[in-house]
Amino acid sequence: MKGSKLKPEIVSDLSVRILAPEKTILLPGEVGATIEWVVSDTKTGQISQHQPPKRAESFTKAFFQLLYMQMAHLHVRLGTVVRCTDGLDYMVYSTGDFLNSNAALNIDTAGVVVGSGSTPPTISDSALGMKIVHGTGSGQLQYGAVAFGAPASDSTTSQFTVTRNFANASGSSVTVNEIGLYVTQYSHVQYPAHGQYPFTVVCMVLRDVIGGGIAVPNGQTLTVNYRPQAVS
Amino acid sequence: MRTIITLDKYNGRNGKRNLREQFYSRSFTRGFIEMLYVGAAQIGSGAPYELSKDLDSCLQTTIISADTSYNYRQHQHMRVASGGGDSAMVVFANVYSTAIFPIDYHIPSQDLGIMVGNGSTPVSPLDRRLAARIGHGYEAADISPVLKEQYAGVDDTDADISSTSIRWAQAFTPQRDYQVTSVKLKLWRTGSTGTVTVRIRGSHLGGAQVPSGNYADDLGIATIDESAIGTSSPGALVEATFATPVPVHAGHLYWICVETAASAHLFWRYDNSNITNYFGGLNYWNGVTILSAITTSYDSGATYSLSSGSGDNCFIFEVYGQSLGDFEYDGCVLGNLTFSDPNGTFKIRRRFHNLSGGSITVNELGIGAASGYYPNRWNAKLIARDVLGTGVAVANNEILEVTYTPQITV
Repeated sequence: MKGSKLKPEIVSDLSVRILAPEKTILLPGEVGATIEWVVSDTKTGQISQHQPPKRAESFTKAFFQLLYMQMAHLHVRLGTVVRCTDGLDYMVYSTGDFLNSNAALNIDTAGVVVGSGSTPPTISDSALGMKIVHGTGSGQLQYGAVAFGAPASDSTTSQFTVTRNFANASGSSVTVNEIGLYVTQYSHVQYPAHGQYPFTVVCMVLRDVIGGGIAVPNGQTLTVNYRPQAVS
Repeated sequence: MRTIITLDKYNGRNGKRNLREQFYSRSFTRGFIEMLYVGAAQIGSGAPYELSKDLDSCLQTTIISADTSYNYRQHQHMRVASGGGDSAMVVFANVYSTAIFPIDYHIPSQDLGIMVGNGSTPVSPLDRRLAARIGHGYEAADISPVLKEQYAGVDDTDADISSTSIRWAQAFTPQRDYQVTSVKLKLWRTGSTGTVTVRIRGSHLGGAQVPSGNYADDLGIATIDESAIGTSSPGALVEATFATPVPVHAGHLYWICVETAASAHLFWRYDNSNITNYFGGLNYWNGVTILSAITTSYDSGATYSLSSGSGDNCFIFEVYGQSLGDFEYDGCVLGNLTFSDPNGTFKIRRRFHNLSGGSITVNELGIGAASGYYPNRWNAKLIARDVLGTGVAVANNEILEVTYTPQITV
């Protein structure tokens, strides 16, 4: 990747901050996610902005299709046609990948991703409006590796955490207006065209548009925590 | 995502609906979140995740993918769709290996998908099983405890529990769901054994199934006072009664584990003559399927190992229990995935037909989903449980239809 060849002046702190939830956000009986973000100095860690956990607003059609597909364990010839982040339709089916949110350092095609688009979310959104790509160029952010906090529960709430850092070494402020979660799945075929081999496709399962945006000054790191939750 | 539960009750003769109730589900469990986590984090065999216990309160190690080969591509992680009745659901397929036995990857249909029960204990995120599941079948509730399982074959050998660190255990496999009220064991002793403790533990559904303490919780504990145990061979059946009945599930393998409080000699009589007529201990040992129904621990129950290689053996025992009655379980079907901006829904549905001859009251609902670990640790995991404010009485020949409708709104 182009971004991986750059020598950034500021390197994202990879000891990802997984913050503890402050309270239960969702309704009893609800399954959803909360979103929290922090902007801090990349070198010192001093926090300049903190959005406490709030409801993640928009699970997409793709999330529901993938959940349905997995629970139904659809036959390979009866899979679900999902529109992926490249704007194409693929037939996905139940395999060893399910909502795979892993992404390594510098990878901006999977895991938690951020963008500058501000179009209101719809259930059919298949990609961010305008993804901010990895790098140190103007308007770019450096993507850290996705990290996970293992499941935990209290008397009412079960959750786990998906976290990622985005460091700004671009030389000027970058505003994040949208946050999404990209996951990888397997497909045999591109629909309606045909293929011949299982390959990985990427689907967006969550998209949140941030009113007013998140300004990430040069030399600062944005940390995003998504927490899928079930509340009883 | 919120989920609407719809209960419809029909007359089984004319199809007329005589009840409809709708309410929001209150309780997807930690198990649901854990399954999402295993997928999201792409947990592999290098560091498998330990789910917070399965339907039998056994530790359930799980992965979703181990490598890029097809061997691991057939995991039916989080599968809810299921057939009906006692059909075996294949939840793992390894297209290359022939070393996997059916016992390794089959789950009874009623463990997957929607299930119903009679329990009413409040819900918790850590619920691992329905408090009292009503299983598949056609028999009425038992009015009082009855003999459910036994082995009464040749009584020719003593197993000597000569130390407090020794445990012997006997396997049994219920053919229907019921609640164990007591067990009887053929015992005698020399010296003072102190109080004898009897535990019931479960096991995962695949591989060598033993009740090691590092993953199998006690489902129930009963005791026998040593004064009830005779001191001359070959002894007699002695009863241990569980203060709280222990629910057991059809097709699962359970263990009766016995220990003493003092190091003397407690003898449990068993058949050492290569049994062929007891199938409740059907198990898997060292690459072969065996009938041995006995396992032993020498470290106070921390680890057990199957007593095989010298023949298929079985203790002299009886299990008494009480059934809550049965429903005929239809298949659990998922369908009707629909989107109409800003909403999306699908349905999970199962029908329960009461052909037991008596009325059965449903107080709780749940959903089971498959999880496991290649090659041989498969079991079902409870991912949702709801307790009804008022139980629903399902008369003989009535059909209860339960529908979960998850819905998202942007």
